[in-house]
Amino acid sequence: MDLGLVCANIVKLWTNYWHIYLIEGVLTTLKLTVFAVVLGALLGVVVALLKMSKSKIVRFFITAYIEIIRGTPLLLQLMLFYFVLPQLIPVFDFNEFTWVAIALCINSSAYVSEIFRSGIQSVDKGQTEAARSLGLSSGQTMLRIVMPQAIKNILPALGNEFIMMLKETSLASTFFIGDLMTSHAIVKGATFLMLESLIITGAIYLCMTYPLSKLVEAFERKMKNA
Amino acid sequence: MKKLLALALTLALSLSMAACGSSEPAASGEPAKETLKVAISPDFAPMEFVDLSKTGQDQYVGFDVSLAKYIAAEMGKELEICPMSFDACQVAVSTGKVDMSISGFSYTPERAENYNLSDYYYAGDNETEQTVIALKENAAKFTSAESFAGVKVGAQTASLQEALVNDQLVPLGAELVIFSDINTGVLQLKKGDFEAIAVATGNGDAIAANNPEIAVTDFTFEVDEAAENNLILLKKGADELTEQVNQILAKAYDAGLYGEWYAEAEELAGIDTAADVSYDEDGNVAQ
Amino acid sequence: MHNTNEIIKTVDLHKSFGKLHVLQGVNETVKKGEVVTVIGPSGGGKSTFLRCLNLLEVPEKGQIFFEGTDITQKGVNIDLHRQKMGMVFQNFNVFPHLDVCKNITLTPVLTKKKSEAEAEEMAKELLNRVGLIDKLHEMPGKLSGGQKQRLAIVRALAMEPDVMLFDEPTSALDPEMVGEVLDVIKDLVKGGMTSVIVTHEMRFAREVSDRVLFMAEGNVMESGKPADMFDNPQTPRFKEFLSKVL
Repeated sequence: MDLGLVCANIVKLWTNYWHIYLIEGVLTTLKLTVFAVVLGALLGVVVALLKMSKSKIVRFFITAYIEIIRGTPLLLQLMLFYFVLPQLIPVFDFNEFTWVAIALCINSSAYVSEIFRSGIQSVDKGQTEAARSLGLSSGQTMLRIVMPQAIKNILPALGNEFIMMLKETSLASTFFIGDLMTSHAIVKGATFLMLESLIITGAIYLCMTYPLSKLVEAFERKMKNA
Repeated sequence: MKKLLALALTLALSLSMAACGSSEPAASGEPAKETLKVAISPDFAPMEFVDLSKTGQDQYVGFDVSLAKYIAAEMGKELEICPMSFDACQVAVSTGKVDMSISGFSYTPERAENYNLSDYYYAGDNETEQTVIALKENAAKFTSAESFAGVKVGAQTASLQEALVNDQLVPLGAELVIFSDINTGVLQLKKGDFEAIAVATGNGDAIAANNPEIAVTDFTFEVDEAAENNLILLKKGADELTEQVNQILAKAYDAGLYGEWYAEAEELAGIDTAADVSYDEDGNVAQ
Repeated sequence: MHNTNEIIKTVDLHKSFGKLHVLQGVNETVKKGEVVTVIGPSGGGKSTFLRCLNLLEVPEKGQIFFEGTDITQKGVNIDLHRQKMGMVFQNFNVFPHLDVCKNITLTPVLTKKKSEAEAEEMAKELLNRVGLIDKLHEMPGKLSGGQKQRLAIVRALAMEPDVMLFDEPTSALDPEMVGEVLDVIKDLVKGGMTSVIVTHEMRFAREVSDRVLFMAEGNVMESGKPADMFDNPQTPRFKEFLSKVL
């Protein structure tokens, strides 16, 4: 393989198509990721609380929900959401992008709920007992005593989930949703310069994930010292 | 909980962009037409690919896209291209997500069993003609089937080309190497995993146009007319629509449109950005 | 009929953990102003008994009357009753994310018993009493074990409880810190605070108790005034226990 030519091609692709990678691709990827993780986190809190519910039936369904989502490939879930759900629930006349975003959000919620649950369970049981014995309700205990302590473990894990999801959104390119991997797919489809486009795409993903993982690391260090 | 749902929906709607799921009426105030949803896998120049200088529905170009536009116009419907991977295209048809898929499908018995298939359409000599591409310095070597003795030849899995290599080159001493998609194949060719790739000539031209170290050889396979032509994938049992499509295909053939579309597609694929010539939905030169 | 003199009364209390029958029908009464210590071998049910009193453990059978109300009944808002029962744990369980002052004021303010200012005023007063006033805005992580336990006691007192429950309050402490915590408890009971204290400190039990309960094998085997109990044990089980710990 001619490395010089590869480099020349990379420069050519970048000069001609940087906006396709950066403007459309990166923006869509970030949008999808934020959507998936932020809404996934909100949904994840609900799922985590339900998972710790006293009702066996609720726990059964929530456990099934979590296990099914964590036990099947994301691509499969995307396919189901994209092809099946819009027809089952035609009331929600969302476009493809939104269905994919919802699928990612639901996927994320299962992982986030486990992050929350393990974060909450990492707080010593004695803290809950102390708060309850003082006469605080279970809600007050969760909000004032358990959550503030759990958040130390939860936030870095959420940061890592964000980084994971940023990469996972690439699967949405199956539907040419416009994310960074879609940018790669359309550029390589038009130019047949696959390696060159892959290198550019990989570099951009890295430019997004590396600072994020450094940020998470710094936060973790700060929390440890706090 | 309600607030959460409301927030989710607001966010979801704010993300909405015009795509094949949404049925927003046309902006110009004309009465909303029924839409014809067509799945394509736009990563295969010159049959279907993305014009990188454009966005939205306009960005999808190529022979199959021209055909899709023509079919929609004949039916009096608004065309909506639903881009997705080649595998997903088939699922989209079988689940009824789209009305049909026009994405360079060829005939296989399994497809015939699970889908309605249209009549063949003819993309042009360049799509019918099957050749091999090779690195420029090797291209002159390959002139006849005999010249592939002891040579590794790549072909996309489950493709017409795979069958051609198997039938015509392997008996003469060539070795078949399979790859999953054409871009990977091109990469492997450059890396030296094999010396040649069997491709449709039009596809080979597009590859060579962007990869100066690759050339199309003079060798051509012998092909059976019926086998290599493309067809449109429709949902099993959609007989009425299939019949309608077949009539439109016949009309396009009689009007001699195939060659015209193909020439346009090749031109778009050959020049990288295609910034100078592009067509809007009515077939007029835009920009 | 409720005797206003009885603060806590248990009737036929049963509790099991799996196959382990930890409480086997405990009937006990704690009177107002009374200081009751509970002693006995590990696994005898002392801590479980204490934790049942404010329903940190829910008994399978039996009733618990707190100031005349059967708190094991459905529909009882246990939170309101717990606000009148202070509890101190073996492992302190101070809130590590809140400073000393907030540890104390959080509950009175949240339960709307006191305004922020009133609560802080009281926190200062209480901290003064236990010698921790200079730690007012310290984080608990910087406190020693003895200081943490004193803070935990003050935190419970801030709710102005009618009874205090101590669950082995000195067991997790380094020996040199046991004294400072016991002194605080002594002061407290001298001031008339009704208390139930689970402890391994026999001398302390003898000194502060109005009544001692010896618990073993899931029930109260022997009870009485401390002097009678320790000088004149009745049951072989209690004699055996005393011979080991004294």
